[in-house]
Parts: sequence; C-alpha cells; structure tokens
Amino acid sequence: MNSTSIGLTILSAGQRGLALTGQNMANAGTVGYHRQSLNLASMTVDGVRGAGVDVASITRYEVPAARTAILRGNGDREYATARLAAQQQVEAALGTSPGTIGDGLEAFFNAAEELTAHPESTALRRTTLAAAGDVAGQLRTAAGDIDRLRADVGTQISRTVDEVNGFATRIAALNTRISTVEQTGAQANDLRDQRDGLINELSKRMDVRTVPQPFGVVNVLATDAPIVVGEFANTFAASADSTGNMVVTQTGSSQPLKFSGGSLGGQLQTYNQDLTSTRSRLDGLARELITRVNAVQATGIGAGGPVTAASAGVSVGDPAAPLATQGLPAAATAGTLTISLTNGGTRTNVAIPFDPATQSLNDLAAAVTAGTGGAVQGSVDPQTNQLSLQAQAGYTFDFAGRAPTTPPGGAALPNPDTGGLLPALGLNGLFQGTDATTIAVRPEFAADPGRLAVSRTGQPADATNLERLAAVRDQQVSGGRTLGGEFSDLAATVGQNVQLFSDQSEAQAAALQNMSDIELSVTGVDMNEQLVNLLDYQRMIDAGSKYLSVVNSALDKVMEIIR
Amino acid sequence: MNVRISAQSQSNNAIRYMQQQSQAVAKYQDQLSSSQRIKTPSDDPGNYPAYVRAKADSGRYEVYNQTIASATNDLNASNDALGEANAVLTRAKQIALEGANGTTDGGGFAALAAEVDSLLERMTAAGNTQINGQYLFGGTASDTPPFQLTTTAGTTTVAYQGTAERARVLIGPGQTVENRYAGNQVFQQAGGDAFQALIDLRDVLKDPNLTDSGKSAALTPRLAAVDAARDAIGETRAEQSSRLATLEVIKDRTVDLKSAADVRAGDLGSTDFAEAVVRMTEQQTALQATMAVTSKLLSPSLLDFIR
Repeated sequence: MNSTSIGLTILSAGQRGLALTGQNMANAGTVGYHRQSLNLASMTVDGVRGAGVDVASITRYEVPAARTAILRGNGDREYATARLAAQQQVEAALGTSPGTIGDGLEAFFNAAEELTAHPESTALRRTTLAAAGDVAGQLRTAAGDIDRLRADVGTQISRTVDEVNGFATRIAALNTRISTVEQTGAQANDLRDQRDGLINELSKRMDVRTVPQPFGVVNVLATDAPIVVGEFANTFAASADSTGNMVVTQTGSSQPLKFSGGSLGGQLQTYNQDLTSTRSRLDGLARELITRVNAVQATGIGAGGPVTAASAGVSVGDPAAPLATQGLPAAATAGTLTISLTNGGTRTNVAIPFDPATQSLNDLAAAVTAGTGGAVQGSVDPQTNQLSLQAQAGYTFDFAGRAPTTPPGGAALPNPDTGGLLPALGLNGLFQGTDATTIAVRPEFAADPGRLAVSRTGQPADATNLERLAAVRDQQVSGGRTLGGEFSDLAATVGQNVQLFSDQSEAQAAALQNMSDIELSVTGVDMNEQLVNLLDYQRMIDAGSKYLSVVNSALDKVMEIIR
Repeated sequence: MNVRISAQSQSNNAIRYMQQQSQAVAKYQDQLSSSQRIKTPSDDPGNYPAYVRAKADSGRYEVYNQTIASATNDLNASNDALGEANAVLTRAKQIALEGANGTTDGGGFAALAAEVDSLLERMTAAGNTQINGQYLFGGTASDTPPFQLTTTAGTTTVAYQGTAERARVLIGPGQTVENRYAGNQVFQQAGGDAFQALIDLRDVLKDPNLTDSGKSAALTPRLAAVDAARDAIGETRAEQSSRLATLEVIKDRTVDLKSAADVRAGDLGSTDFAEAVVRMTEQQTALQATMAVTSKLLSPSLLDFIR
C-alpha cells in the first residue's frame, strides 16, 4: 500500500519538524546552542516511483571562521583583563591622594623645612619624625599589599591550571563520545554544542586553536603544547622555579611553557614581571630615601650633642668578608671616616681610612677601636651581624666633622665620610631597614625626638643640617627624577597600564561582540523564522492527515464494490 | 549586513551598550560630585606627575610662607631691640655732652654715672632679647643669654656667650635668610663696642681721681666712642632693614608661586564642570535612547499576529 505509507512519511517528517522547531525555540536563549534544521528529501522506490518524504539529515549551523576569531579574541581579551585587574589593585595599593607615598614624602620634607624656623621646638621635631614614620609606613603598606596581591595571583595561576586540566579532560571525553556516535553515521549535535562551549571556556584561559579530525573529533592546541589530542588530554602543573617565578609545565616534562594569551598568560605576566618590576621600583625608592636621609642624619648632631653609642641599621651576611661583597643597600667606596672624639672640653678628629673592597666589617670595628685609642670600642653583634660603637666613660663622639680643639685652629671637614660608609651601614641613621618592606624610623627616636640631627654644631638654633635634609627632596635619585618625581612616575606608569589594558579589554570586547553577532546571525535562533517553520510543519501534518483520510475513503469505496 | 538577527545578539548588544553608557554616566557623576578629575593616576596618567608636582609645590610654598613669617618676626624683634640699643646710646651721648659742658659738679657726675649704670642694664637687656624663649643675639646658641655682665673690684666686663655663626632659616628651595645675629658682631664690634663705650663713660663719670674739669675733658673721647658704637649698631639695623625688605619681596613672590601652583593643580586636577555636565547629559541621553529602543525592539514578534 504505497499511498498509505506515503501518508505516514508525511506525518512522521512533520512531527520531526515540529520537534526540531520546538528544540530550537526552547534553546533560543541557550548560550552556545547551534540552530538546527531539517533537510527533507523525496523518497523513491527503484528510483522511479515516489515513496513519500524522508528526513535526509539534520543541519547544525556553524561558522568556523568566526569561531576561530572568537577563540583568539577570548584569549586576547582575558589576557588584558587579567593584567588590568592586577594593575588596578597596584594602583589602589599606591594610595589615593592625599594619602600617597608622594604626599608622605612631601609632608616629611615640609616638616623638616618648617623646623628650620624653630629648630629648638620639640613639637616640630615630633611632627617631622611622625611624618618620617608615616612615609615609612606608607611604603611598607604598599609593598605588603603588592606582595599579597602577588601571592593571590600565584594562587589564581594554580586554580586556572586546574580548570584547564578539567576542561581538557572533559573535551577529550566528549571527543570519544562524539566519534562513537558519528561513526554510526548519526550526528551528535548536542554533544558538539557541549564541547564547543568547553573549548570556548578554555580559550578564555589560554590561547588555543582547534584542528578538526575525522568523525567530529577536534584536537585542541596551545602555542607551546597540545592540550587535547583526540581522546587524550594532557595535564599541566604550575610551580615556582628557582628564581621565585611561576612556571607552567606539562606533566612529565620540566620545560616551562609560554602562554601569550588568556587569563593564564595574563596572570603569569603579572606574577613574573608586572608586579616584580613595580615592587623593585618601590624598593629602590625606599632604599634611596633611607640612605640619603641617613647620610644627613649620621653626619649631624642632635639636641643632646655628641653621642656615647651608635648602632648600624643594616646587617651583613658575613662580617669577616670584604664589605663590598655583602650587598649593602648603598655602595661604599674607599675613603676616610672621621670620628670627632669629645672628652670634657676638648675635641679631636680621628681619621679612619677604610676600603670596603678589601676590608670587612670586623676590620672596620677593629680600626675604630685602634684609631680612637680604645676611646670608642667598635664591635660586631654576633647575632645580628651589625656594627655598634660604644664610647668609654667620659668620651662622646660624632661624625659631624667639626673643627677640632686639639690641635687648635683646624678647619671643619666638608665631608667627614668620604667613602659613604655611614649610610651604607645605616650607622647612626634615622631609618632602619634596606627596602620598602623593612623601612621604619628607628624606635629610639620616638622616645627621644632630640636625636633628630638638626644641626652640625649642636647649637640649639643651628638648623644647617636640616637644610641638607631638605636638599634631599631636590636631589636626583633615579633617571633624573627626585624621590617625589620617582614616585609619581611609578604611579603614572601603573596608571598608564590601567588605561592601556582597560582600552585593550574594551576594544577586544567590542571586536568579540562583532564576531559573536556574525556567528549568531548563522547559528542563533530567529524566533520569527521558527514560527514560520512551525506553521509549515503544522500545514504538513494537516495535509498528511487529509491525504490519509482521502486515501482511506477511496479504499472504502473500493471495498464497497466487494460488498 | 547580517540577514538573520537572533534575539541573543539583540539582547547582548543592548546589555553592552547600556553597561558602557551607565559606566560613563557614573564616571561624570563622580567627577561632578567630588569636583576632582584626577583621583587616581589612571584618570590621566600623562598629566598625573605634573599634577602631583603642582600640589607638592603648593604645599611647599605654604611652608615657606610660614618660615618667612617666622624670620620676619625674628628680624622685626631684633630690629626693635637694636632701636632700644640706639635709644640707650643716644641718651648716653646726651649724658656725655651734659658732663662735658663744664657746669656739672661732683653730685651731678654721680647722678649721671648712676644713669649710665641703668643704661648699661638696658643695653644688656636689649642684647639678651628673647622671642619665644629663644635669645635673638646669641647666634646659633639661642638657649643661653648672649651677654653676661660681671663687676669685680669696680671693673665691669661683658662676656659674650653665644656663637660666632648666625642662625638661618630656609625661605625657599636652597634659599636661607639669617634671622639670629651673633651678638658680638653687633654690640661688640671692633671700634664700636657699645658695652665698652658705656662702661668707659661711666668709669670716667665715676673716676674719683679726676677733677670736675678733668672729667669734662676726658668725656670728649668717650663721646666719640659712643658715636662709633651707635654707628656700628646703625649698620646692623640697616642690614636687617634691607633684609626685611628683601623678605617682603620674597614673601610676595612665594605667595604668587603658591597661587600659581594652586592654579596649575586646579587646571590639571579639578573637574571642568561645564564639560562634565555636558558630557554627562550626552551619555544620559544616549542611555535613555538605548533603553527606549531596546524595549521597542524586543517586543515585535510574529506571535502577535498568529491567531
């Protein structure tokens, strides 16, 4: 009964059409869904007589070119976004006006200059010391914030690598299922949608491209390593290398892989370069501040006059090794350190020649003891490896290089520390520490603000040492920039990065939106189109039913002949 | 031009534009309510260093304004003290003239000598002038009285206890002004020692070995010494006066520099209200348009027409 079976094919094709339209409409809002459509073909017997209609295939619409561009765009966008997020946090860590490190530096130097008008004022000394403490605190906070941010990014890198491993495993599993289905000649469209979604997520984390294989399988490749090959997924691991950088390696290999895109690429760039360079500039700023201010403080005299003891703020690794090899925060050169020794009313100047290239910290301690005839005892603390000087009873000393009283008629020394030994060791300084993490005002200043070396003579209205301190503000410390200029340049660099990455991320988002529009114009569900299709399939079933009833009533008429 | 427009791409676009426009509106709203255009370096990285510099300059010149005021104060006080010293020496000159005119007798000389003694005290007080508890004429040794008068066995000596260096104050970048003079260079100059002139004058008036006419004759060289001391102090006064005049000029310039720095900081970092208001309105209009279009676009469907 060919006529009846033709009617049946109409009904079943119509129903398939209705089901598929329903599926399309149901998934109009599903992200990653690819629109499908029914391809009908006429059925024949012997290639001559018509036998109805058949569902020849189901088309899953896709735009491979747009997809490739979207995968690349995803990687570029997430790369910029990951770096942007970190730079924004760095910007916040550097502080907003009026609480930035630059503001702190200005406040410190302003207080010092104000003190020149009232050098005897303890209140203004406290203000100056508090300002010094503030700027040290701001540097420590910023450095701590950036360090914490770096640790967070390190954790993110590990998590991203875990996610990549998860996606790779699932993509490989889907490859297996898809090839099983498609080897039978069927189409695994929904499985392909799932896999495309996973590859899309993967492309946000690293730069990947896909290579199609027979039976619907795709290989997923990153720049340096294959992620998924057929049914096999590679696994990756993140770890710190010997220099403290994070590297990602493939399991079973120690070769670090490069990722130039995706959030993983951005996070690695942030961790290994962006944050370390900002941090080292911050350390450089702190180091310059410490050594320059300490050099001025050490060669001045506080309200209490010459001191009976002095200690260093910098430790060395090996007190017996030449000082030049100990990585001091400021380089010391061969020169002469002059100690002014005061005993009762007489003052003598003792010159201690010292060459850090050949002499060690122990040698320096011995040279001070020997040079002053034991009046000042130099020693190195065996626990901290720091130099300390202690005067014998009745003696006081300083490094201001004042004219001696014995022999009388000597001249004051323009530079009592020609080798820069005092700032290199932090001896008798205002700040302790060597970088942005360790900088702090020495605790003894809080108890006795008079220690701030305002003068070079010890007289209460002598503020000449403050003039030298104030001059540090205008000294060029790095690349022709002052301390304040270096900070604002650092902040502006970070600001520029924020703007650049923000623009890049924005531009990539726009490009992605464009590509996505192009892809969706083919793969997306147009509701009106589906409604028209719905009407078509409804008609088809209506017509099929009518046809069957006509065939039925015709057969009835035939049967009536027999009766 | 895409032929097929899916609902997804329509809503994606609508969301993206609305987000962008809301963001822009929020940015201008923030600028308008805080009146600060540059809050973080990324707001304008190119101008940030100049902006920070301008703000720092403003704070710095503010400090110089204060130190200039303080130095002016010190110099005015020391000028006043020198005025007093001048008055003392003027009176001493009158006394010397009175003693030298040949009509003064023994009792008159004693009275004049007593007055010179009090003048000597006034001179010492002038030399030991304090401001805020700090001595003005001790050089950098502002905590000890610069001049100490001692009389042993009828001989009066004046010891200078200050330093030879003058104290100075920062009034500009690397620029200082001397605000506390070394007293020995003011009151005890060679050939113009004010204390010695007074002591010698008194000693002549008091001298029991001299006759009245002898005293009159001996007073003439004393007169010259008093004049010399007055000239010497007058020189320092003139120096301080010119310094005060210079300070006045520097103060004016510092005020100008501070306001210039403020203007620069304002130009760079403050919100341009007119622009911000216009831009915000622009973005608001765009946002409203996007919203209106979106609500219209998403509604038409064939469903409305299938009955």
